[in-house]
Amino acid sequence: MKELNAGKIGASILAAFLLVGLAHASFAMGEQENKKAIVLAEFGTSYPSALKAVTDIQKQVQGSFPGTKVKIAFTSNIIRDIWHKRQGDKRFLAEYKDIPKEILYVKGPLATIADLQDEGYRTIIVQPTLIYDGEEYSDLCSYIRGLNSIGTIKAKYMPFVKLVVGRPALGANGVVVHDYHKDMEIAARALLADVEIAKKNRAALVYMGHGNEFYSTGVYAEFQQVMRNMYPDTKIFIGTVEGFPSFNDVLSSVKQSGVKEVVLKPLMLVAGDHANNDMAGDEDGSWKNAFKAAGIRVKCIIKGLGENAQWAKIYVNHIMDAARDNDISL
Amino acid sequence: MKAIIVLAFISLFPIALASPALCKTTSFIDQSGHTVVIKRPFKRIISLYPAHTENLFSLGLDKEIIGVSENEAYPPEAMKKPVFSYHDDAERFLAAKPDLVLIRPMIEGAYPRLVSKLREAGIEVVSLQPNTVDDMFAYWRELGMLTGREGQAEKMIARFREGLGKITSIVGSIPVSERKHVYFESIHSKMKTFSPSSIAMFVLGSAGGINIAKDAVTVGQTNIADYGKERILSHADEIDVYLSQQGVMNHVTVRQIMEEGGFEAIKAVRDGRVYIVDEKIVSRPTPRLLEGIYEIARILYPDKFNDISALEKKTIITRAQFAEMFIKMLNLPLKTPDYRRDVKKRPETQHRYGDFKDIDYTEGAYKFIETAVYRGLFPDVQKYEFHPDRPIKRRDVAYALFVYFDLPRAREKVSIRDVAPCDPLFEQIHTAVGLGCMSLTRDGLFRPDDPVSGAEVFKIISKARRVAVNGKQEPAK
Repeated sequence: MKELNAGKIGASILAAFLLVGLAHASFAMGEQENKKAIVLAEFGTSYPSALKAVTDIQKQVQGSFPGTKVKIAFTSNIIRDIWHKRQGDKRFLAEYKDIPKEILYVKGPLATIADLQDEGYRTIIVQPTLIYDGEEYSDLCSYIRGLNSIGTIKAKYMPFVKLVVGRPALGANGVVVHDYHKDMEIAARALLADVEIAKKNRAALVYMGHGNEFYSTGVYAEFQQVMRNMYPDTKIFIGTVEGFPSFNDVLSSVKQSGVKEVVLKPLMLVAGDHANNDMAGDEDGSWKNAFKAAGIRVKCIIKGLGENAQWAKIYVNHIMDAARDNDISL
Repeated sequence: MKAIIVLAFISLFPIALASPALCKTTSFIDQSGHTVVIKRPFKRIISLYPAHTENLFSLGLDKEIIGVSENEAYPPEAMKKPVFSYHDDAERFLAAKPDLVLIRPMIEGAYPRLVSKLREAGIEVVSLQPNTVDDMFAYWRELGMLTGREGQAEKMIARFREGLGKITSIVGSIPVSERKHVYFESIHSKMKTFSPSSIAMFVLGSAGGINIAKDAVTVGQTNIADYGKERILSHADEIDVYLSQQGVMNHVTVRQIMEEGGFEAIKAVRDGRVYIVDEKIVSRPTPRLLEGIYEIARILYPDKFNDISALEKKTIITRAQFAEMFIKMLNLPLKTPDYRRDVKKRPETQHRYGDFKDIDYTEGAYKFIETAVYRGLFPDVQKYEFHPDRPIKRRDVAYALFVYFDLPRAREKVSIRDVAPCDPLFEQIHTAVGLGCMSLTRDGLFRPDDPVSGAEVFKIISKARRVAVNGKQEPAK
């Protein structure tokens, strides 16, 4: 949480800086260009081996919109720092030749948007690779609202023509054009491969979501039901690290249902510390350990959703929707 | 000649000033150059460095310690003391009425106002931090002087030397040509190691490791030394083991080291011999350095330091012995006590490191017990009682196998007459029997509450290991 707060402060300073910077720029500018870009706002990862989850999505998005510039932004300050330090590390660069330069120079969403604006991209769709509409999505929308509140005296000097946000995988709250129930159906369909692994192992499928403690995370409980309706032959459970349903909720339902074996997988974009420690760790607090203590066999799959092409496609579709809803042709 | 001896004596030992019959006044100069005069032992002490706290407890103090730092982890009693910080207002310290505040030289430099305010109020502020092992013994003696526990301090030193002797005698039996070459990392992100004369390098050396970064340049007056990626890589083929400390100073994971750009050239990385040890047992100048030495020795020479031959001969294995056998056979890293803030994350009703009233936290066995408990290897852990001397039951052995190993499903169903389906360990026992790790009597009984011998435990764990790794099964007998 600390990280996030620091991020917020950093962001507000940057926003203030941007406001001044942009006002000046447009004041000095003549005719402005209007190119289009997509920003993929991700939490990020520092592990080169986990980067696949990030770059796979980017490739798919770029492939779907070949004529549009696609930029990655990492919201985590710590992770951006780690990548920046690697810019001058010859040994790192020699071992990991395939790491895109863009990752080494990755910026946060605000700076990425500002850079694009500077280069004449004034129609921008920001697509977060989030699971559901929670704190991070709320904050991202707040950033975008802030930028959209800029008003110039002359319309032609407005920094953005259109700056819009795509919705998370499981949809967004509020009266919106896109029914979140439908989003859930599509997301559930994208997880077919996981259900099949569980089936093959004659096991139940248990997901670990992130969740949080200060928003209702009922969305996970609802999504669990959607999955159960779609795959009635497989027992499916979803719990969260923070919030509802808790691991204890999941454990007691798993026990009640008489399940003797589970396939355990993170319901997160990247398999990072939560997947490795809270889910599959060796200490007695991990989900794996707690299932085993109850006599339940566990198979852990430490892979993020970003590596699932079907899941990545959801974000492509949400970009398309954001474009259509805002009369942006990509 | 006499004069020289006397001079040498004075420079080595604290000066005994005019000592009245009842209280002996001594003094020494601390690391910040401040002369500390001890007229009588200090009785109300605030320690702002966890090593000071640990050592005060080792000297047998408890009620004299009225405040500790935020980063305490050991002993468990230290966690129950009020917390003080350099960031606190001096008034907060004054209100607690300490007579002594123990700090480190760097703090004296960074928070001079706090220190001077405390001194103005008549509180003794002493800054101590040894950088070498010789310094460490002198430092323990100084703590002894401050608290009137000179005798205890000597005992601490003797005990440390004795423990060290036990390990070095085993290390001594390893030919120099077979000793492991080690790179010992202190801060990953900055590619720093430890100074060759540091306590951490003493720990490594005592464990029989050969430091490959002997040419590292110490940073200022610290234990840390610059090295850099290029120099590490210049030794790439020599490094048998890559060791890193983990703690407040270095948040690092094995995966991070394995994926560090360029590190695939390092022998240890290629061989998967990258290990993390707790900063608290390799960098802090306390008697627990022995644990750090032991732990590193186990990493470097597992065959020499995981000897279970004495336990194998036991006809009945106790719960404490089972923990030790399990951890030694699988060479599992020993759990070290967590920082206070991490301890708090565990629910209060759950067992926390140090809670057991029936085990001795000054003896070696507790490490195996707490490690096994934190790994979840015992089914019925109570918060305060472990019953270390009770025999381990067969049902508990089955449980431990199931938790630790990824055991496949048994191919055939076995019928066990004395384990009912409602038994909470039904699944675990059936798996252990079904896979042939544990056997039934001729009458088809498991005898879940019977004890096991050392030889049996050895056989059972060896079998489980084969079944789990290869997935091969033997039919149940």
